Amino acid sequence: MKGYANRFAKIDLTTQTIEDYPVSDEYRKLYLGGKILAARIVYDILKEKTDAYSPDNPIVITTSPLNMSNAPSTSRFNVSTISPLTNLLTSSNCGGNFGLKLKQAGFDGLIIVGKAEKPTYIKVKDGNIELLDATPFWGMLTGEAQEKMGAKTEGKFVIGPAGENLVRYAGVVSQERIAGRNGVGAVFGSKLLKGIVAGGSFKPEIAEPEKLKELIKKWAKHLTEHPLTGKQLPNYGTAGLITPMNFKNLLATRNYKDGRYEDFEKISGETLREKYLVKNKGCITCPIQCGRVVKVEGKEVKGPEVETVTLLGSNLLNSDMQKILDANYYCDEYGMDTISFGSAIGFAMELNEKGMWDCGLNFGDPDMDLVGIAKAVAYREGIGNELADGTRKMSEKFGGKEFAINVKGLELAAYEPRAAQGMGLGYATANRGGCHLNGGYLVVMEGLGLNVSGMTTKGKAAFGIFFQDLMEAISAGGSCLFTSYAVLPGYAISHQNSKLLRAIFKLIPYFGGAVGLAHKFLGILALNLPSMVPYPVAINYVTGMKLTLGEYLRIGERGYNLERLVNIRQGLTSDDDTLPKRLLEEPQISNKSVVRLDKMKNSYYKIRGWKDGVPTERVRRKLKI
Amino acid sequence: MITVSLYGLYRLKATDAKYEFEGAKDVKHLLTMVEQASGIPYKELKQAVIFVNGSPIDQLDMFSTKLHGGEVISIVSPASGG
Repeated sequence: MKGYANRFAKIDLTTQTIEDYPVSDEYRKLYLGGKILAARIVYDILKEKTDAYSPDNPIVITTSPLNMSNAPSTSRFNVSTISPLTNLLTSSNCGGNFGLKLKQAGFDGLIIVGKAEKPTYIKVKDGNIELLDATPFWGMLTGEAQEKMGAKTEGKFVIGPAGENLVRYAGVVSQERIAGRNGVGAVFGSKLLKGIVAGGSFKPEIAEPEKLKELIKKWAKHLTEHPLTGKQLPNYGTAGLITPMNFKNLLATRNYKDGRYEDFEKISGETLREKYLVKNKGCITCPIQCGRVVKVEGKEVKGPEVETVTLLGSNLLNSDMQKILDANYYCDEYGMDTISFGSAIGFAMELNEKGMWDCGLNFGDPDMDLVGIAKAVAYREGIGNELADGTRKMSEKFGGKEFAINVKGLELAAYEPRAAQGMGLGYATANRGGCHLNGGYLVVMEGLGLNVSGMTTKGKAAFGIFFQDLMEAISAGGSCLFTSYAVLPGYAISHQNSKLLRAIFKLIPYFGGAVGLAHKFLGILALNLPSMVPYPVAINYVTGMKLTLGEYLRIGERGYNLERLVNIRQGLTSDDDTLPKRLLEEPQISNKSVVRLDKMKNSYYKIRGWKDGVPTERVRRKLKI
Repeated sequence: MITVSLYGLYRLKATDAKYEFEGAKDVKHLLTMVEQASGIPYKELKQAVIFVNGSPIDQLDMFSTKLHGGEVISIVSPASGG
């Protein structure tokens, strides 16, 4: 099929064998690529419950049809596996150049199973794959490993000491970007796989190049003119969210006791821009350029995202921005997720405060050595050995389950859900655990981008499902999820105080029924709206498919259900679709609210067509799973 | 004295991040003062997400929200991404 390399390889590190893995055009049509195609491959390979560190656990790296199409913000690639934090399916997405280089090497993806006898790296070059000795690189930080493994022109995807030492939230790094969440780096480490290098000269054929070129021009223009993707994100990066999150009681503070932080200004996107920003930077082909370049120890390095600023800032009552920049840099070098890292520290601080674990960590401690703690975690030294296991495992050892802020084992992102009920439902139901993106990121509608009330539960299940499925499909196609903010009408963002829009925002929750009904009959959306949702049209121009908007959303739904089915094999039940007790029963200090989950969860299952959290036979038939 | 802080995109357009005013009787009146001091057109300020002492004006009396002095006003642009 056009737009693809039409080749997957399966690599067994135990037997040191490499073979082609069959992926049909039918699969490409049903699952596109990225996280959805990876979920299908994991579903096919794993027939029974498998431990994250078992050699049988596959690492599935997938590219997408829009990679190498030159469409805006489409350098993203995916890695899926069973997570050592959740023991469920995870997918982790990365904006580095490795995905593009893998496709140039002639592969849409790699499936890696087994366990090597000694440190190993994989070299993928112009259709050939070799397994090579990584002993000289074992122990290196991610920056140095990328520099020394393979040629400069090749893409790299490597772990650091955190992955080697099985930190349960270790990530895998490409350039300065990290597939950070859910411990995919630890699975690499468990297989003694240091990394992968890839390069080549393959270029996929485009089905309708002229039409694609025209669409790309319009799409890029729309993104650069939109108030969120064209103005807010380039100017302030994602850290620009800190201020509105604080005012809307959404800023995770003091291990999620509160949604506001009195020193928020010191760690805001405004402060980051005014005092620390050297320049903007972005992924390849991205006109948004939301990345920040800052200085750490005199070097120009990648700046922090909103999640990092929150979890290492307000959540620890740490208002020292330079400390956050330093820790962010070292977490990337050690190769680990700043969200889970920060959340584990916040949990440890509360355990210490309550006399449950004498770890010496205190909220608001101006002498806190965040970089030192990161190093201790990466090498599993002292208290770092406990922090490296994440909040769920820590709570099993020290107690405090009710304030261990994770869902299914994955630490929550920066958004305090007691002020955004739909986001709370998203966290609870997300297949990969406490993830805002897999949760549908409804907080954008509930007070950040739009001004729909975050306090009502009405309609949130239907909207949550719509955005979960949409983001699933966007990711599978190879686009950055940030492009989805431009799906929201610019006028609705920049004219929030008009009487008309205020009335519409009040009415939106009542449209939940209609959205739920549309979800049931997606087939009737037999049209495309390229100016609003350009993704399926772009995929059609690249591949020659004939996707409509309804079919595209159906692919997202298929992906979401597939992930759930893998998780059910892994032992997931509806009891796991919940939130920590703190968020359900303990009112947030500032807005005095809790997440009212039960009612939303019932509606959610009903609209999804799930019984007790399990997709029914009817749903599976409808989705051709 | 009423303190006004500008955030997000409004901060880029203004000469200062913080202003102080006296005598504004309500939010609408205050915004006209902010327009004069900051150079940001009133029409644009009116579309901001505005908080009076941390409470959003859409939960108060919108632009007719009375001011008595001593308030802290925050003028914020909508945002997304993360």
